[in-house]
Amino acid sequence: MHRHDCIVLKVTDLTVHLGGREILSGIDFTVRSGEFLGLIGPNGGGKTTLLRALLGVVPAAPGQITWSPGEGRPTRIGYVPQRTATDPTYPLSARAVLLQGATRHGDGPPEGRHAQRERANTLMERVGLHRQAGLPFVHLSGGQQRRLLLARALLRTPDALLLDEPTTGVDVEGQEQFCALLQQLGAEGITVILVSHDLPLITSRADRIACLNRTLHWHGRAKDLDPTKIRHAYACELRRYEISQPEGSCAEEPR
Amino acid sequence: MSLEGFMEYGFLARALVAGVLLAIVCGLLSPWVVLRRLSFAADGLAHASIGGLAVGLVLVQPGASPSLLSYFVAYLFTCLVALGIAHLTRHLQSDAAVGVCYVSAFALGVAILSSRNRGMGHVEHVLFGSLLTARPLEILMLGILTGFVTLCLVLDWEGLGAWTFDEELARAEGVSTHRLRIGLMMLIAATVIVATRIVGVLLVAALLILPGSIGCLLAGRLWTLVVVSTGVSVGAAVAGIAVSNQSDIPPGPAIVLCAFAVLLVALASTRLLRRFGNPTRRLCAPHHPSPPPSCPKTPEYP
Repeated sequence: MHRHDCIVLKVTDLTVHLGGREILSGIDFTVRSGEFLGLIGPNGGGKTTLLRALLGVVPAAPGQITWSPGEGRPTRIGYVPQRTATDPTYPLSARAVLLQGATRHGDGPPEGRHAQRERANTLMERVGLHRQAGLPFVHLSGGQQRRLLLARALLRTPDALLLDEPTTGVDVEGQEQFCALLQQLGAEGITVILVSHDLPLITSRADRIACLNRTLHWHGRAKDLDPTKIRHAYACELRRYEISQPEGSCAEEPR
Repeated sequence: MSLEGFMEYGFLARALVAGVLLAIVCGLLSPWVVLRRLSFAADGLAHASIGGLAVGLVLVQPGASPSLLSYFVAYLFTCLVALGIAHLTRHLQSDAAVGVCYVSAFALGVAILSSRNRGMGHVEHVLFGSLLTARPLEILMLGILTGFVTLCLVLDWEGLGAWTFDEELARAEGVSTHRLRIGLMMLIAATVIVATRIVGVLLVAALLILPGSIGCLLAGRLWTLVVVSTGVSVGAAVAGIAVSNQSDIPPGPAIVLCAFAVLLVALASTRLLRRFGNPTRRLCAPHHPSPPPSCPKTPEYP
């Protein structure tokens, strides 16, 4: 784990090309340990591509993305995708899918099976899915699947968590609980980078916000975000959104 | 014929050993083929192997039966087809890429075999195979392949598990999915090359798909899926050879029909379990005291 408040991620002039098209250009920002960064922006703005570049799945030039090592080992990153390309007949149970995430880190001795199972059980309880452990993964609801994927990411004891719209399609109570859990993880020193279209939710929960639309339009504290900056990033008027959300009322409908 | 009488005949004993070894290899590979939706690719490689065998058998090593060199040439050819499929997938739909490559290789094989005056009888031989013609060379290759496939699965077990669930997530978790895909295709290519002479092109594809499909119906965990798949495959091979020995049905079709019968039984038992038992429980899944079929209320986080 990183020391709290030290810089865990530094992105410098990041440019990403995919299929001959420039998806991202000139992205600069830093993220501190235990920080909750919200990534917002319109569809096609490059949010998922940025996450994939941070994961190393999409190539970026050397030096553009720097993860600071934690305690003498490479930074462990957990990832919760927007959706999984799982076949509706995929047979494995929720517990089996969770344990698949326990791939060897390569930075220490492999964990024993018994210890892995113990941790898996603890994480299932933490995300409220211990009673669904034996059910086939595809029988879980959308929200339950996202929580299981969060537990799978946590099984790797990550230093940073990247989440791609994990609350899409989840009811308001589920969203609230999901974000509360993310805040708990932040308090434990895990850095959280969350992509979401839910502006009230993300502005009330995140420490910092990054507005992304091909390039970084704004990056700063959540409380400093105003409709002008959002309008600039989204390149349109967002009439239903106002920034003045009362503290802790992220579950309310946007006015 | 009793087992003693069966083993007295060398060719029958070799057929049994070759059938069991091939069943183990196919049973071990089948779950990954099914879970990664590579059934059509496996079928395509099996058909493409005809082109490889024709090149190896006729152009490189003329003779009635393929030698080690002609098997090697055939394997290289089939690997090239696998790489061609991987390359074309970037430009075409994946099923179209498989189709384009396998029909071309298949046509090449038929053309070479026919032009060398070996007649369509030989094409039929590679299409349907003959377990009774298994030689020590094939048994040796199957033995080596069985060991190699087992070793690969043990070494890559965790990565394979993550890859079957979601390719992008597995990549994000540090699994080299490209290496796994190419490796699996190479193993499938080796299997179809060795198996084509024994059970034929059509039936090796069936053996790469049926056991894994049965495993998916019955198992809830990865290792039980592989065990069920391998067990069903070996059981079907032994039963098929026994049925073939007692009737006029060739061993290859008998093995596949036995596996298909198990699939029907598995389907029926799954439906019965859904109708009269717990709809979410699988036969080979661990029992959990009272798993709720659904979660009516969002559980509280601690």
